[in-house]
Amino acid sequence: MTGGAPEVWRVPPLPALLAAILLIACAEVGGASMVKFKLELTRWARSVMLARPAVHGLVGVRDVDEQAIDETLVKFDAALRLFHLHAEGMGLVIIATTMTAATLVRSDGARRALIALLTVGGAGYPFGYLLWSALIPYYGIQTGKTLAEWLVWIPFGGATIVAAWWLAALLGARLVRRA
Amino acid sequence: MAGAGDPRSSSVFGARVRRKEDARLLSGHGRYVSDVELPRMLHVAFVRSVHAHARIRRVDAAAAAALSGVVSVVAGDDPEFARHRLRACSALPGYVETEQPILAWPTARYCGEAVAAVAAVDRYVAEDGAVLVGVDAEPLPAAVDALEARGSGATVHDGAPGNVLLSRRFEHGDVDGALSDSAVVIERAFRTNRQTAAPLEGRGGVAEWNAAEDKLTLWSGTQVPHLARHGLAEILGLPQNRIRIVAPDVGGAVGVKGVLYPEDVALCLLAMRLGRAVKWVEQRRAGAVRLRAERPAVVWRPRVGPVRLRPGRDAAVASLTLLRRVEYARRELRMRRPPLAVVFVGLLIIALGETAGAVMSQLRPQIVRYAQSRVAANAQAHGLAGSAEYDSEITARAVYSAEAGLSFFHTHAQGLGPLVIFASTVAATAVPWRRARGALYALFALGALFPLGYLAYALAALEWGRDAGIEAAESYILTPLGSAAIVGLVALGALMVMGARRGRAA
Repeated sequence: MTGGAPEVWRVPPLPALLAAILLIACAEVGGASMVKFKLELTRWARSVMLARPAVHGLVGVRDVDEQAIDETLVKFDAALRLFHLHAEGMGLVIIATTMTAATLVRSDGARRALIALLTVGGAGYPFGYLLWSALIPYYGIQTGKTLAEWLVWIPFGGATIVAAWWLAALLGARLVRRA
Repeated sequence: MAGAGDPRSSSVFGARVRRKEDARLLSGHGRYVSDVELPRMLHVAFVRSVHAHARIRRVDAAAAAALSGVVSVVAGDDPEFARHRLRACSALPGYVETEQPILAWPTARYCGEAVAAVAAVDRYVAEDGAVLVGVDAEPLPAAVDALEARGSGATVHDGAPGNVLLSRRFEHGDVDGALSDSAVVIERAFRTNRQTAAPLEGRGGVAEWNAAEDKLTLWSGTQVPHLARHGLAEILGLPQNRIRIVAPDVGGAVGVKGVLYPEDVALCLLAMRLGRAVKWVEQRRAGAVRLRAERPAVVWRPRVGPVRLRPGRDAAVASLTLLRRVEYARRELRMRRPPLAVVFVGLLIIALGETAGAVMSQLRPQIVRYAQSRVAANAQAHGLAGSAEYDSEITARAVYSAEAGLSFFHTHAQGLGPLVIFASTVAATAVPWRRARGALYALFALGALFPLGYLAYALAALEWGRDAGIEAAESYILTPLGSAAIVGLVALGALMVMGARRGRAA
């Protein structure tokens, strides 16, 4: 980064923008699907859970099993909702942060690395909730969460966090130098 | 009506030009320098430096001079050649004038520079003699890259320590202003290749000295006979009326025959010394090495930005003919960047929000334990009664409140970070008043800190109880900072409308 910062925003690379837009579109579709297909989704999750009683601790007693299934379905629904919310938010975060990196980071290598991390991390992270939601009926809440964490949240979320702090540090250093 | 392109037109513009020389040239009746034949004429071959930079210690001409048919061998240390120098003058300020020897001595400054000349009865003997000339040279550090040459240790001329003969800066118009108004600014470094022209006919010359009349005649395939005469007169100390330059048919020049070369002077000096006409025709290979090289390794660092475009219309933005490159802007898009500090605040909030989300996920057991311990430590604030069942429920609610505070911080930070960046970008672009923009930036930056209220709430709820925590967070952070964001957004809308009206009025 150097002192000659452009006065206008530079458009981030097309793949970054495309990823952000697609993510927002996925979020919209996810939100709509949650409402439109709520019954179908619940039925599907319930049938999968009933086929795996050991995973969900079902004991064959209706009252106990219904409570367990209801609690799991709440998490199943929450995971879908979290995908919707996070995808909406991360789409905007990708645009804002990659635009900042494209404009204010002069070093080619750092800029490319930041944009790649922010795009891949930001676009991938919300799908962890979708994965968790899909895994809950098969593997249970906790196992599904662990899988989603190691497969998606930690690598993709970690990439975003590292890139966001890296970018903030570069900007902060620049502000300090100016001061 | 006789118009452009009509052979009857009296205007030269657009009119056909009758080619008068075609019949003569195409039928083989052209007369070039190499066609000039004079009585007792000698032929010259040059010995050239194989080093880009070298100190010449000795030129051994004995073997060449002993070759049958060789009439003369001269080197740069010959007093008659050493005292004559080419000097390119310029009135440009800061120009460093340097001298160029006719034959390199004691330093060769580029690969292909003439070091010695062999005059013989024919071209073949001259070339054979040139091969026999021994040049004892000590290679010196060479400057082969235009950028690296600047200020490098390989000084080409002592008179130009930084290897810079002329430094000029060209400016026209408000470049910085135009670039700052551009939708896209492309800044790249371009490196061009070294290049040289290659006319069909190489360089060459025939020099004849008439001692009886003190007249020098030079047949030269030159583009600039008058410049050549002027230069020769100055270098040789002859009146211009004693020098005749004959430019016969020229087999192409492409610019490289537009200067006076050391070889031209060497031919004249040899003719004057030997009293016989001398002829030299350049070899293609020597020409490729020796000819004036252009733009070697020049690095251009253009900043190309689109000119002001009409909204909604595609247009070419700028072109550098040199680069053969044209950039296009799709549409007018001048989204100005807000101050760094505002961007930094937005980015910081995003990073904090991301981190909070990860912390909530990965450290949940620790957070819960900490919250439970704080509730227990502040039993009175939470109204713990000593009943295990009741206290457990109270504690669970308090912990839930703290977790909710963290969660709200995470989601609000993720939302407000981009919001601040985008809203301040709109302000920077659409609000024409500087002070108003400054006020908006301040409001947005304060508003961006709004999510910190939820973080404070999470902590305060554990220390002072849920209601007291909410009250404290609302009173000191959420309400003032949230209001700042709301006021900023409303003001932005109002200022945009006012700005648009002012623009229409203007």
